[in-house]
Amino acid sequence: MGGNPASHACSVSPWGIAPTSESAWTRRLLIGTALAFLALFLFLPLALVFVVAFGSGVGAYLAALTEPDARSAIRLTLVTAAVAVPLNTLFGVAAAWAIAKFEFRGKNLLTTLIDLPFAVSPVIAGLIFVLLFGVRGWLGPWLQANDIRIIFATPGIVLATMFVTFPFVARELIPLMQAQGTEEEESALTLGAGGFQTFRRVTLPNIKWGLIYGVILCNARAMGEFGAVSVVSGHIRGHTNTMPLHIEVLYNDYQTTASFAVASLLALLAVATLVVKSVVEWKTARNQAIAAREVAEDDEGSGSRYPMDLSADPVGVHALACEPTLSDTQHAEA
Amino acid sequence: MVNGLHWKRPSVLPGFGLCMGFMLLYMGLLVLIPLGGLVLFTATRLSAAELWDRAIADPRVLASYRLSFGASLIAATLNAGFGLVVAWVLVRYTFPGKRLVDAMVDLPFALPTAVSGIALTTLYAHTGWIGRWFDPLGIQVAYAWPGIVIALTLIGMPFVVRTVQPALEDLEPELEEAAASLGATRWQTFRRVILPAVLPALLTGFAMALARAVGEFGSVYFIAGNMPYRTEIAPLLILIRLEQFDYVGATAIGVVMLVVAFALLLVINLLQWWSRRFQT
Amino acid sequence: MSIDIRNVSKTFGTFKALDDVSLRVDSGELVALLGPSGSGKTTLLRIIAGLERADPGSGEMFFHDEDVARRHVSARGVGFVFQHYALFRHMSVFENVAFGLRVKRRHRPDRAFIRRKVLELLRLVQLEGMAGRYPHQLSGGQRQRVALARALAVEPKVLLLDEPFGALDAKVRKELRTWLRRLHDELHVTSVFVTHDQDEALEVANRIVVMNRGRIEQVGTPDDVFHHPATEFVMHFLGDVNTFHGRVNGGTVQFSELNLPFPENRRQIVGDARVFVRPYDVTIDTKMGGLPALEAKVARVHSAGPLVRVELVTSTNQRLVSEISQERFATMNLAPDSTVYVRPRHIRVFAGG
Repeated sequence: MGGNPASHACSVSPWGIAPTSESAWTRRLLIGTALAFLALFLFLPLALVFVVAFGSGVGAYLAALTEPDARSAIRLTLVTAAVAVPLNTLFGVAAAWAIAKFEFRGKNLLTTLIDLPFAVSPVIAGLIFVLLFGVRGWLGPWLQANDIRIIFATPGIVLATMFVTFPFVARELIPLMQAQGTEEEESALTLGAGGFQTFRRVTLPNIKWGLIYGVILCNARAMGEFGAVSVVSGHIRGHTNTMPLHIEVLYNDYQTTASFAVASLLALLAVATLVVKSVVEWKTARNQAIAAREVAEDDEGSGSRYPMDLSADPVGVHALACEPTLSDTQHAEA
Repeated sequence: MVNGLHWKRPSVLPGFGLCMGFMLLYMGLLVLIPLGGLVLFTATRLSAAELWDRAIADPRVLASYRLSFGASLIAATLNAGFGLVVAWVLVRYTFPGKRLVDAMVDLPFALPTAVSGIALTTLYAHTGWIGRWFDPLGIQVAYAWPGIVIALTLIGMPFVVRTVQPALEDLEPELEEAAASLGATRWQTFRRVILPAVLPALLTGFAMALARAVGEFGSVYFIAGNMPYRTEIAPLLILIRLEQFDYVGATAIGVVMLVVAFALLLVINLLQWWSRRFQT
Repeated sequence: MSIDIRNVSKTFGTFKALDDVSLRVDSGELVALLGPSGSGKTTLLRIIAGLERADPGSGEMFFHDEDVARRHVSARGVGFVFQHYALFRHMSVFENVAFGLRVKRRHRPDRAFIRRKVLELLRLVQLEGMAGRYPHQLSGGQRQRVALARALAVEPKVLLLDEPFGALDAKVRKELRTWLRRLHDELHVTSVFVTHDQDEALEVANRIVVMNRGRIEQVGTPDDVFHHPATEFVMHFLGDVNTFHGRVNGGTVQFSELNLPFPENRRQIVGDARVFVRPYDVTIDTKMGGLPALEAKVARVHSAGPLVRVELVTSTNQRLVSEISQERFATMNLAPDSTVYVRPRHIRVFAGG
């Protein structure tokens, strides 16, 4: 999924149409189509969020964000993210270390399993926890007997959020760590570094930016999750409403401005996530360019001389200089 | 390079056991056991007849599948077409604001679905910025199936663009030069050389967008209008059943959706394997 | 610090990378592991370092009579220079070299000491003034020397280098070879390096270990392995060679219409044999002379170079190459198709067809 803005090679020749490029009109038409499509589906909705949010003035905007139900929704969202993101980050780093730095059987299966929550509808993510912990679920009667609330309470919201955002950090780190190989870590070990020192001083600085993006994206998704949380929350105002659920309640109450005001916070978070992503990609592209240059330089020098094939004609390419003498002695050595 | 006798190749790097253990424990508790619970629920509390009645024969459920899969297919097809154009433009051309546009493609990944849901609904309602142009023509977008398609197109868009983009970048310019030198027109080159080369990526993106759309809930929930038999998608029906504490009805639909999701995941993996086969 | 490796084997899946290898490296030696790719040389080096484990139950390894087979790489006290250097990209040259000192858990030296030590090492590898640079700002040869300084910073008991010059261009490679040789003479740290380049091994090492298919073919000084190859493989691997099929019969060896005396048949070769002659051991004459010789026609002459290479075809259609001095070439007036008489000076005979 991760895009690569590193190589926006432009094959358009400034001197008219190159044999492998399109006419100016085709080009304009394609760019126009792409921009219109993106404007209709991305720019307009995003702009609308802020326009409506501030439509009744800054005062109304701030009031919508500071009223008690909104504050409690923001608090619950922060709590949820504060539990889900660090745990998923820990999982992501552990999974990436095991999968990217070691060779073992069943690795592909494991990678596919990590992707599972991507494929599952968020509503089903909520459903599975209701089946486990709901009143009529597997553990429902026992939980009720012991007065533990999971569904329609914060723990359920946190669990559903964790499930949905489970793969993000791991997905970001695995390809990154695979690309970096294990030589630098081995090198640190030969120099006497311990396992944790190696990770902290060598691995972590190398994956820093990817990790940051993974965490931020995981956070944005955790704060914005709607479907799964909808199923397990019960929509108790002031208690089990997260920000997205609060948006829904306000919207269905025709409090459009207030609803868009809360939405604008999440939209801002999304935009910030994209900014971080751009920075990360810019950094990664720069590092890759450096690495590519190193490899190119290395390749230049590796005109290695491989041994002659033993069965081949012995007319070789090279021999050490030895001045032959005119001696006629024949020496057989065995 | 895995030894025949051992499941893991020995390595001097530390921490494998710890990381593997934590990973399996966490994944088991959070993902595998809960999903297993759904399967177990289906196996023990749902008879085949019940599953048939509640998940397939019920006309309201059938209507929701038709809508969910139909709208998702249309949305994924739209994405395949427009996504290819967007990827092409981003890889091949330069124009002002390109970096911004490129960054924005990922917005649907990061933007909460509730936010895109209310924004699209407001935009395409009959008084909205765009909806008001359709209203005089008698076309209803929001609260009707076109609105659902629009919401699903939005959330699936990055998948196609982000899978096709690297495939286009990796394309050797020599291929196109060779085609041109052999007398092919630009369109022929595109259709016979470029398109086949990026087809695996395009199909992968299509399948990913489709999978995401089929399961989507948040953005559709607002724009659909949610009228039974007409604009009610399958995930919403699960939610409705659960709100009535009808676990059996919810699980029956859930299992069908889950099977479809796994089938799509399998297709995506096969497509990726297939596209790798062509790499030399 | 001597290294003693006894009966080490290593299998990857079904591939036998090392097959019961034993080797002793004496204290202060500079030893080359020479062989083609897949010969197991890098695997052996990585096992010495502790980056790879020998097959369970196989082999022993001692550093100066101390059993290190089960010791972890970070406690073995080896300096390892990786083929592609494996410099830490996010650290400056100074930080790279200081790394091993900074991660010491016991007796961690103070900042002033580290600074002094790093600068001293950078002087040693002729990189004064580069301390603040990052790996991507250095040339290949400079990166190589940073890697070496980094490995030396922890005062390793053993220095191990994996294809140390493999990734450099020819000119830098030559300079670094001489420089490494001098550095070793100064430091006298027991060193083992891996290479597939015979010239490199012959020029730099005290002793050469020639490897092939996971086994050691021969161990000896550069002179030994070059002039007295123990096996056909070594013969082929070190320099060009002309090959003939022949027969050993009593005190003579017969090949290509030639009968040469073969008195010292220590290996009791009888019957079919393979006969090898280095190109510079093939003399050419325009006259028959009194001694046994092969008649041949000149196919091609390459005279640009310190030696003249003459490609020949015998009357039995056997191709061979001779190398003669420019002076001798000048006296002979050779041209394609002229007939000459060819006489091998030194031959080596191995059993088999």
